[in-house]
Amino acid sequence: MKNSLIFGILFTVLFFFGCAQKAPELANENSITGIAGSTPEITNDSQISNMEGVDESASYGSVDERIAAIEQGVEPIYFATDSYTISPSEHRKIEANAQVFNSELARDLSIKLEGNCDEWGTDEYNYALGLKRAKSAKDALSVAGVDEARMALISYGESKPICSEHNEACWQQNRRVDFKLLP
Amino acid sequence: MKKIVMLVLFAVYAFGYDATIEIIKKIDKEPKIAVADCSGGDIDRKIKKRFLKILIGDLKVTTHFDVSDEYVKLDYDGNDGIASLAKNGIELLMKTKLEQSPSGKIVASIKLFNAKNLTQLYEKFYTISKPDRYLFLAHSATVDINDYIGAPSVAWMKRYVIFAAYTKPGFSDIIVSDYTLNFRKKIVTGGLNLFPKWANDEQDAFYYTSYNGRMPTLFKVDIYTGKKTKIASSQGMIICSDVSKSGKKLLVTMAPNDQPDIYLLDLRSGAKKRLTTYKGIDVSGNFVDDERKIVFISERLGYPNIFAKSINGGSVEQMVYHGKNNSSCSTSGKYIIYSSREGRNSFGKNTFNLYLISTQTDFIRKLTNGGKNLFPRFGDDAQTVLFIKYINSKSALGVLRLNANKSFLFPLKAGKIQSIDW
Repeated sequence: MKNSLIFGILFTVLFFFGCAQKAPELANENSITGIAGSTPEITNDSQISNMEGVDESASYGSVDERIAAIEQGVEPIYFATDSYTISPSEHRKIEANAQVFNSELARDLSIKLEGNCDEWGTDEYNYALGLKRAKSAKDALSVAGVDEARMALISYGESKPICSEHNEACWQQNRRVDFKLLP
Repeated sequence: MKKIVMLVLFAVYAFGYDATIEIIKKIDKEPKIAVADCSGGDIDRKIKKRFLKILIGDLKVTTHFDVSDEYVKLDYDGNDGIASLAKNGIELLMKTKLEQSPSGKIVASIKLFNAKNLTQLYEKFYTISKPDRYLFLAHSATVDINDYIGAPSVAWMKRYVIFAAYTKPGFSDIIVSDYTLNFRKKIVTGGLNLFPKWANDEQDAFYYTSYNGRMPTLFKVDIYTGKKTKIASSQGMIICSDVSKSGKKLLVTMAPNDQPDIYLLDLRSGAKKRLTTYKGIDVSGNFVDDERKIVFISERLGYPNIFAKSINGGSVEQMVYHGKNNSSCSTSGKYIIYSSREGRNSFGKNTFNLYLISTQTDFIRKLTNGGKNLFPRFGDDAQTVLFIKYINSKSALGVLRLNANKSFLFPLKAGKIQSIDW
């Protein structure tokens, strides 16, 4: 479900903005038709020229709306108890998130990585554990091609649970790194 | 025989008292005390009832009295009724009279009697101008009677506790209270405000971490004027873990380079010195050994445990060889108290327990038995420890009396305690 959402958003981003910017370089109609499939009308220079000048965020009412749309395609990274190591199963999400962050639509935005923990601890250690989780995610995103200078870390410890029940399934949801985009 | 017992006890205390050794059998007997209500009808019934309840509770928490729970109504003047109490084994009688002046000021008059010989031992008067703090009258009266019988001081009862409490995800308030949580005053509200720490012994200012700006920021707040001063901010996290005796130096956990480490902040010069450099987690620095060393939590063995090192650098020394998850601690002299996780299932027993060790012996004393007991904080007397007890979504302030091996819980009705200091 999440994969579909990510690819859906990526496709939308590429379709509306990526294609528009690259269009002048595509010299023949076949290529344009081949990408869009339903855009044979884009054949004259004036239309393409107009599209070149369109701001990427123009189709959103505000930057906040653009950010909200992008964040729908970003997945949190989950961790095992007491661990700040990213498991192999979460690496796929890192790769997918990196693609979103490096897309044309998101490239000008900063990324805040929020480390979170479960309720097993209220002390400073829990906040440091959240921070190390955020740092692990930052390092992994960096390897995946996201500019480190765009990323800032914060740890919320156990203060921002998304699930408040007292069972392992719930704790699992709370041991995570969330990604927030900032202008 | 009694002399021999006393001599042995004296020798134990004078030459080798160690709080890590639990006193199983208490030889000396606490005096049996009753509290009498002598108030007239001019004081609010609710205030009077709560005052008596707090006073009786305080006397129990001292662990230095055998406290009668029986409600006793007597006249404030005269000796009527005392002899019959003595017949029932009461040795000390505390007569209490509460009065409220038109301006709202509350006065507590206290007479202490030796019930056996009907002798008045003292009379004291306690006044408080802020009516909502009347329960501090009970704390003060308890401190005085405890001093009168020559028991180890419980002056900590008069100190304020400061704590942060989560109100909902992403929100927490900072509250000042008495140790029973019956008096509470919100000091910082709105947003996420964490890890309050008193700035000095006078308790006229405190530090806390605000998450309400771009970065976590450490502020100092004057509790009387409300003046807020920014001390430092850091990406990731910043927490004031300890304050030097002089109040001029702070041990702070922060992460300017995404790496949680312990720093020494000199508030006079503004100098910042990084004390730990391990690439994993180092947090919760506590001054020890006349502030020449720090005790801290590190995961350098692959799990959180307690270590020490000199302020001036050098090697790191492992302090605790018990447990596999010791994530918070407090120090007082040669003693370290720490929480240790012993189970994964919060519905089972023995999940987080508190332990006491001495840096000079190998003894380990288990202080709690079951449940989730965290965030221990030594009192000034080194014999009393505050801690947080969690029961599912609820929390309580715990008071441990080490000498008597007793603990008392004071639940917080709304919110969940995040951290404490006193």
